[in-house]
Amino acid sequence: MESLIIPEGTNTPNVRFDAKTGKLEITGNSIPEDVAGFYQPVFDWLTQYIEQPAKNTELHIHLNYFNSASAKVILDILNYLEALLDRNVDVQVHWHYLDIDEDMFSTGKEFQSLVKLPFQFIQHVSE
Amino acid sequence: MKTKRYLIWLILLIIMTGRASLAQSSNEIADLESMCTRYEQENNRVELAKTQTKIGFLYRDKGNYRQAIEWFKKAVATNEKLGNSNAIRVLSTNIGYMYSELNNYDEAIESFRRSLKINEQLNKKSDIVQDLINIAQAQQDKQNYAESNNTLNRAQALAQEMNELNALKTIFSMLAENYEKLGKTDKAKEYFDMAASLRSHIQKEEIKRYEDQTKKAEAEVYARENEKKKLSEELNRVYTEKELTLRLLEQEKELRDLREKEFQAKEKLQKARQQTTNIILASLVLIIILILLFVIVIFKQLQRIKHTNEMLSESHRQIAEQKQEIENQHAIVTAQKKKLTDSILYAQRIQNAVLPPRYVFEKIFPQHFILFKPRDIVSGDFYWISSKDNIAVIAVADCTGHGVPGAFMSMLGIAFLNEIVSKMTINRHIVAFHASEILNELRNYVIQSLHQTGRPTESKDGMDIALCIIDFESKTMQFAGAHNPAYLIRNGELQIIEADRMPIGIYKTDNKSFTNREIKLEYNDQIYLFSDGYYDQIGGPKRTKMMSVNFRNFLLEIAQQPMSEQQKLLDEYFESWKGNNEQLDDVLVVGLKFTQHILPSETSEFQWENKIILIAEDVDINYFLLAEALKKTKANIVRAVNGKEAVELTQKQHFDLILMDIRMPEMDGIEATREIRKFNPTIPIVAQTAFGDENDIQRIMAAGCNDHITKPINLKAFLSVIKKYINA
Repeated sequence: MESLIIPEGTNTPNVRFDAKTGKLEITGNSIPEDVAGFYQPVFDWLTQYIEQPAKNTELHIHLNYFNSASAKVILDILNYLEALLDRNVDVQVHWHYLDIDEDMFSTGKEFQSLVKLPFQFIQHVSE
Repeated sequence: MKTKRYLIWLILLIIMTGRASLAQSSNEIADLESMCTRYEQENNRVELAKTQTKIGFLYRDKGNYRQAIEWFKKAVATNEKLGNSNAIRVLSTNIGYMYSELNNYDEAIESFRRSLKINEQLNKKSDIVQDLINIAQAQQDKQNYAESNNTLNRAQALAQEMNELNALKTIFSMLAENYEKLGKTDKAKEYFDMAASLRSHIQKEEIKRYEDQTKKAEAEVYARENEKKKLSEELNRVYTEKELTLRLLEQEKELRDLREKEFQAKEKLQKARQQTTNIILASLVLIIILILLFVIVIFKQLQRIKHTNEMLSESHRQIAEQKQEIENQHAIVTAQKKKLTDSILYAQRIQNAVLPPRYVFEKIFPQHFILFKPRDIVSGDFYWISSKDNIAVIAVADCTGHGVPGAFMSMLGIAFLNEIVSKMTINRHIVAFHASEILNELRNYVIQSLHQTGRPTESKDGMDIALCIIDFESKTMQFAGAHNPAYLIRNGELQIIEADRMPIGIYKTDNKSFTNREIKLEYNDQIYLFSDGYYDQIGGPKRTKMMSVNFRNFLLEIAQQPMSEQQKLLDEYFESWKGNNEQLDDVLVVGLKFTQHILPSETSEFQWENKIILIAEDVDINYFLLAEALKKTKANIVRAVNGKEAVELTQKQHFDLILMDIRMPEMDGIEATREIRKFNPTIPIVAQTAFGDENDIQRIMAAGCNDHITKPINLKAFLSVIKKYINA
């Protein structure tokens, strides 16, 4: 299965989903005008990935800013990955946030409460 | 008429003499007479009757009517003995004819009557008609016209019944003749015409019948001939076909043989030719290829020079075309954008009209600001305020999306809040008035109206909201938030009033109640409500989010400034942070300063702070008018929407006075008053009557009311009436 790479745009994040290592990363800002359109390839890829996942799967959300529509998409991605729990795959969510960005931290906490996936919160020190 | 008579006569003659040979000589008569004598002796009556008749006819033919009559009479006598009435009838008729010839009409009529009598007995209708005609004829000849007509009338009726056209024709002619003789020309003409038309009808019928027969015969002949013709044609065809087929088969065989030979010859020739052609073709192709190669080489050389020039002009042309195209598209896009923008601008007017006007804020919070910066023209963020008595409800909300979709949602939010809060204020005695309750209710409204059931594909639209209820009297604030917190700045310190981490809308924890937080307020407290649009804006030196921490720091920095100044500074800070970046979301920050609420508290004669008044009124607008009129008195008001509810409330709770409407559903004011009087004879009840209806007043006073007021109310008179009873 091929990896999914979407380079970063002005309003769209960098998506790097590696099928072999199981490392799925979303970085940058997520404020696309057409949220559903932008994330469609991501869901297409995930649908396949769930059928043949890597043994250890890590989702890294490292976003600086995302709009409310993107928040819904992130929740959907988490819901997709929840399916892997039933297949005895080790799934981890790594929630990256800036130490001063308590909003991003609390949003991560809220997501954690909404799904069964284990979360790790990774704080980054601001310069 | 005479000819007619002869005709009938002739017919009869033929019938009667059918068997006997026509003997006309006197010798014959003599022979027959001797035969008669012999038959008489032999007592052979049958032959005797026949012979006597024959002799009668012979005499008649000779014109000797008297002798004829004599012999016919003898024949009649013989036939009487034989009982042969048929012969008697015929003989009598003949006797009649002959008497007529002898102008002895009475005898003639007598004879015809004899025949008639027999025919009547035998019921031979056609013969009856004939007899009657004969009688009438004789009567006519006797110049007894009226009598003749009577006889004819009888004949006519019978002839018509039998449809005897020929007889009828004769009858009509005779009637015409009689009437003419009687001098009745009109009648005569009428019958004459009838006779004439009947005659022509009969003739036509006869002709037609004849023609039909002819035609039928002709048709048959034609059909037969046709059939014959067809048969012979068919025979011919079959024969010719057979002949032709045979001949064709023969010819075909010959032709096939010929062709075979020709083909073989041609094939030989073709083979020889093909070889020659192949050689020629090969040479030609070679030559053409050589020429082409040569031309290409030269052409390429030429083109290389030409191409450079052409490319230049072509690219010029293309650029011009593209420019034109772009300009066209730009015009279209501009037009479309203008159209869209125009309609959104109009939508903005509606949204602005729905948002609470500034003076409402002004009245409750003389020191406040609203920083409202929609990303697009219309906004998904909205603010909302409602106040009643000493209480104000303020909300700042952020709907999913921005622009038009967000604005749609915001319209819903405003409408729902209006409904929920007005319901709660009206039924204050029933439902607890909590900020969290408002949010719970709002969430129900949103889920229900968007038909959200939680299926993964459907919309998870909704809103984040910060809502507070400020009670100026108790100096408390209730707060509840969906995602959006509130900030409180007091004495240079900022306190975060936390919100629940769930939205207004379908959610995993949408069955959980929102948290109601209560805070004691102090004068000069500053309360900030906002959406995340302000501090989530990307910008600054490293193109990062502003983040709430920076927002709070900035708020603390400017907290000492007057509210209007704070708005200006917040706006400037936001714009400078944003810089050249685009605004990402709608921005809304509302700042409120809690100051002493200037209540409309006149120190007047109407102050009933500790009193509770029950208003029984089903019509909303009437209730609001009464409540408004009592507002300044600070009286506590409870509403009942019908008489039944008024009675129930009075049983449960103490009231100082009841304002009773008369016409209400379920139970009217008159009955309610009677009910209340059963268990509470002292409570003052003041009836409200519409336009002072005398009949109503009499009835309500009889039911046990203390007094009445007239709607529409006069404020002073109204309060005076209340005062009379409430202070007692």
